[in-house]
Formats: sequence, C-alpha cells, structure tokens
Amino acid sequence: MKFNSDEIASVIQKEIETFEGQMDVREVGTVLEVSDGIARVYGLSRVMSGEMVQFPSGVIGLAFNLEENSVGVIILGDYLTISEGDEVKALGKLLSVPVGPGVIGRVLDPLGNPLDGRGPVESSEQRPVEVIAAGVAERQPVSEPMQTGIKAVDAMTPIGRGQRELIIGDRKTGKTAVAIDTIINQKGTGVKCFYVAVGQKDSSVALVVEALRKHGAMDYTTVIVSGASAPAPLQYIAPYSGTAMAEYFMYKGEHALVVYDDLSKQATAYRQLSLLMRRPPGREAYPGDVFYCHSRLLERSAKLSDALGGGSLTSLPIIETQEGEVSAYIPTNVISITDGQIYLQPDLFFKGIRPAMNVGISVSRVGGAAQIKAMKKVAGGLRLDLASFRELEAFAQLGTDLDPVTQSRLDRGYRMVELLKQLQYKPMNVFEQVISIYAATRGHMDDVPVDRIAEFETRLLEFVRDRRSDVMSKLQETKDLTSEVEEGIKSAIAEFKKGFKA
Amino acid sequence: MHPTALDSDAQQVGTLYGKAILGAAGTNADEIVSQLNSIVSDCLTRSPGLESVLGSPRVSQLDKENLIDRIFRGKVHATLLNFLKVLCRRGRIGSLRAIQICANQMRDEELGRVRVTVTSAYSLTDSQRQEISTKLGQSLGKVVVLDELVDDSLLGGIMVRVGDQVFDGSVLGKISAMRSAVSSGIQKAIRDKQASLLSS
Repeated sequence: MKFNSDEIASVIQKEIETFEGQMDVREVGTVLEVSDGIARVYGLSRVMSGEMVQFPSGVIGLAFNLEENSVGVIILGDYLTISEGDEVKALGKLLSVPVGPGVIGRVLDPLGNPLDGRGPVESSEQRPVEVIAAGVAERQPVSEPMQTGIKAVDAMTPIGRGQRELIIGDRKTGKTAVAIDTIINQKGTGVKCFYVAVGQKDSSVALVVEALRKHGAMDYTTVIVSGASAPAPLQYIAPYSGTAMAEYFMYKGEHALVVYDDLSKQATAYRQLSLLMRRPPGREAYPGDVFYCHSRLLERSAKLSDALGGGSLTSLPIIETQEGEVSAYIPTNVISITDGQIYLQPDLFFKGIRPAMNVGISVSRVGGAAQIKAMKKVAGGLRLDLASFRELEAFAQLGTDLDPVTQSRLDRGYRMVELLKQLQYKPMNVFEQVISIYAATRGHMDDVPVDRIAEFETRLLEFVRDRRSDVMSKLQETKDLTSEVEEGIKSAIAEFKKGFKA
Repeated sequence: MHPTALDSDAQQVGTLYGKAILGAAGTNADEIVSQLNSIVSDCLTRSPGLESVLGSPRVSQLDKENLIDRIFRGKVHATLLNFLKVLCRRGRIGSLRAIQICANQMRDEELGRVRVTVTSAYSLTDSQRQEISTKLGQSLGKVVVLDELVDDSLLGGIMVRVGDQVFDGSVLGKISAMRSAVSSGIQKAIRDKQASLLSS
C-alpha cells in the first residue's frame, strides 16, 4: 500500500489555502505542584468543574477541584512529563470519547485511543464521557430479555434489556466468566457489547480479549482497558467512557450491554484521587460522594421509551468482596443501586457447582417481566425449590432416616443442581434451556443417575435438535409452553429415553 | 514558574498583610507600594543574605530591628519601616514577595488599573506600545499597565496576557494551529477518499 504523493500534496495545499487563522484566546494557569496523577494549578480563574485542560506535553487533564486559590486537576495520562511552572491551557470543552460503529471490535483506552495496534479509531462522532442519565419520561419498563445463556441465571435471576444486574463474589469465583459468557451469548442478537476492565492485570485482560476473539465475540464487542498500572484518574473515568460509547447505540435505538469489571477497583482509584485532592475521607476512607460516583454511572443504563427509539443499555457491574463480606461499604452501595444481584460463593465453586451462584440470595428485581413465557412456566418455582433443597440437604447430612417424600425431594434437588452446572464458554440457547429444565423439574430425570445428568442433557438436546426439530421450531415460534408444545416435549423426552440406557 | 503564581498559603498571607500595609499607608499608598517593590527587587533579590538573616530564628529580634533601622531608616516611609519590623517579629519576612505581589494587585484593583503582559518577538516601539495600551484600554475599560517580555521563539506578532486569559496573536501560535488543522484535514481526507489517494 502506497499513497499517491501528488494527491496528498494537493490535499495539504488545499488545507493550507482554506486555513483561517483566528486569534487564539485561551484561559491559562500555572502548575504549582504535580504528584501521583494530580496537579494543583494556580490561575485558570474561569475554568469550570469537569472542563478539559491541556498541559504543554499534550497530556489532558480534568478540572476536578475548584478551590479558592487553586484548581485541582486530575491528569489523564503520563504525569511525569509535567513539571512545576508549566502553563496549563483550559480547552473549554468536556471530556469526550469517539463513539460509533468504528469503536466496535477494538481494544481502547478510556480516552478512546487504540491499544490493539490496528490504527486509529475511525469515527467522526464524539460523545461527552459524563452525561446526565435519561429521565423518567424518557424511559419505559424493562420488557425484553437479555439472555445470558447461563441456565442458572436465565431461569432464576433473569435479566432484562435495560436492567442493571450486579455480579458479586469473592476473588476467583467466576464473576468475569459469567459476564464473558453473556457477551459470547449475544452473538447474532445485534446487541453491542462493551467490556470495561478497570484496575486488572493486563495479562487477565489479554486472556479475556483472546477468549472473546476465539468465540467470535470481538465482532460486536469493544474492550476498554485501564489496567492496574494505569494512573488512577484513567481507572476512575474508564467506566464512564465505556458507558458513553455504549449509550451511543442506545440512543440510536439499538441494544447495548456493558460490563464493568470491576467497580470496587474503580472506587479504590476514586478514593486515591479524592484523598490526594484532600477531600475529607468518610467510611473506609472513601469520599462522601462515592455513592454518587456509582449511582450516576449505573443510572445511565436504561430502556428508552418508544418515542426515543426504544434502545436499551444493560449493565453488569462486577464487585469483588473480601471473605464474602457483602456488608462492606462499596458492596452495599452497589447492591442498593442495582436491580438485583448474582451472588457467587467460593464454597459452591470448589464443590464443582459452576457457575457458583448462591440461589438463595441472588435476585433479579425486574427481569421476571422480561422472561419468555415458556421459561417463566418451567422455571417458576425453581428458585424457591432449590433454596429449600439446600436447607433439606443440610438437614439430611445429619444421617437421619428420611421418609420417601423427603427423599424424593432430595433426589430431585441433586439432579437440579447437577443440571444447572454449566461449562465456561458454553452459553446455551434459551429454548434448549427450557427443554432441559422442563425435563428436570417435571421429574423426567428422576430415574437418571446423578452422575449421568450432564450426559443425559446433552444427548437429549442433540436428539431434539436432530430428530424432533418440529418441537423446537414450535417452541421458538410460540415462545410459550402451550399444551401442544408441552405434549411435543413430553413425547420427545419419552422417545429419547427409550434409546438412553441408564 | 510565572512570577505571580502563588500557592494558597502564600496567597492567604500575602492578601492579609497586603491589605494591612495598604490600609496603614492611607494616602501614601502609591509611594509605599513603589518602595516595597524596590525593596524586593533591589535589596532582597540582589543580596539574598539579607533575607536569611532577617528570617533566621538565631538572630535576636533586637538585632534584626536594628539592622532594618540601619539599612532603611530615612530611605523608606516610616510606615513601611514599621511594617518590616512587624514582619520580622511575626516571622513573615519569607512572605515579603507574596505580600508585594498581593499589595500591587490590590492597589491596581483600587485604581481600576489592569496589568497586561505583552510578549513579542522583538522589543516594542513607543508607537506600538501606545497603540496596544489604547486598544486594550478601550476593550477592557480600564487603565492598562504594560509589562513587556521579549521571546524570539514567537517569530512574530504579540501574545497578550490579561489575568488568566491569553490572547495569542503570535506567528508561532498561528503555525501550530495551522499544523493541527492540516494534519486533521489530511486524516479526514485519507478516511474519506482512501481509494483515490492510493496509487495503484
């Protein structure tokens, strides 16, 4: 590839001819001190809060604290290039990032600069990073499902488009795995996905990008990275800039999904900034507005009204707890902001129940309205049944003799738990989920040994796909468990079981 | 560092003492402010030893006051002399520069004067000076006091700084604006008509 030099020269000439020099009027200040990603600036007397400023090296900053005699600036870039006495220029605009189809499939930093070595981002539009969320009149209730492809989640804590569902758990309990599977499952649905990695090891982000690429998910996904070595200000704004990119699609009437992995690290970065800015520390040394920091971010997820195109932005914030402590400051804050949470537990994880979802305390406050009818019918009582099974299981461990009714409930429970196990990167179609959960909840698996449940399920679904596609297509068409569909599933299971040697 | 950039502590002390000296000066404010300017620029800056002696805790208060008397008595206004002694007593000699800057600013404000820094590539002629002050005085509605700086890296034109606002009419500023305009124009052209720009 080679550029035609005459053409380029003519472009340059045209640009110079049409250039109109105007007097450059700018508001300036002087750097008093610079440290750890923040600078204190004297002057800039007419700067506004949140306005972009520029240092001589080209690094961008944000006016963060407006004080009596100085301005506290957070530096979005390399602060080591800035020295005392440098002239700071106010740019008179808010921080914006490139948005539009050009960002899809890219790995970007929070300012929209490419990190994947695939050239500049091709986008002509910009969107401010901080915008006020859509108001009451601009929204409508969540009504469409956002299928995660994970049986346990789609059946018991369903997520709707426009919902905010928190994924919470200790380290190494599969929080990211749930989010990644959800992204992979959006293939072919037109949902644009955004994965915001905050304060994570660059190696784990590379693994995530690799996994997404391998499963073809990078075709509709953007990864926004500010790793553990990125300055705190960049970690702080990363979720906002990811949201700005996602919102573009929401306001275009499309659907978007954004994963914040994770918000506890963003809160830590914000705490660092605030302490360096000498804002008073509050509980756990977080500043007083750390709640607002998360609430204004998550409030931007919405299902827009039909008048605005009916687009949606679903968010899956992730919070890492320490030793299962959900009553710490940041977890309680985010739990109270979101519309439900998926709680992952280490003991379940190590028992081999993966996803390690604790059914008892995981909830979805709005998603039920978004479930397809068929799923609602088969999974209706599942959550409560499983929760009561856990109690019963604990009781049964005492070794007492059980009456047959209790024993059968236990057996059903073991099979249910076994069925809800799911391998990573293997999201499942919702209609297949309906069939396998139907088979388990209606007792069609009671005579299958627990250790062969997984095999039974795979082969049953294969059988339905290959031999009884009429049942599947009927289900996809009605999306409901009509008596006709139910009969079809029942007969398919019966037919399959003849061939399945238990 | 810009000479008038102060951190918040210096600013606070400077404002406080500046207000005090202007108040004490009364009708002699202009004389006292100009004497204060000369103390800072002619004495403190030229002989840094003086400032350290006056600021040192190991020199007794009496010695310091005698020293001030010997150097300044008869040469500066009595109010200013007393003010210097008060500063010594309070251990605020180190803030004298901040006080001078703040006192000047406050005096300018009182008289409706505005200090304007004009940076040019070559030193200004009298007629240029005259023209700049009249034009700026008209647009700002204040009496303009020019501070002149010469910086040949500007190549041509002038750069005017009023408070925190900079009006950049320099050749250097125009060139860099043109550079960013041309480079973004070319990037856009490359995006828009990639095919015709590529030679086959």
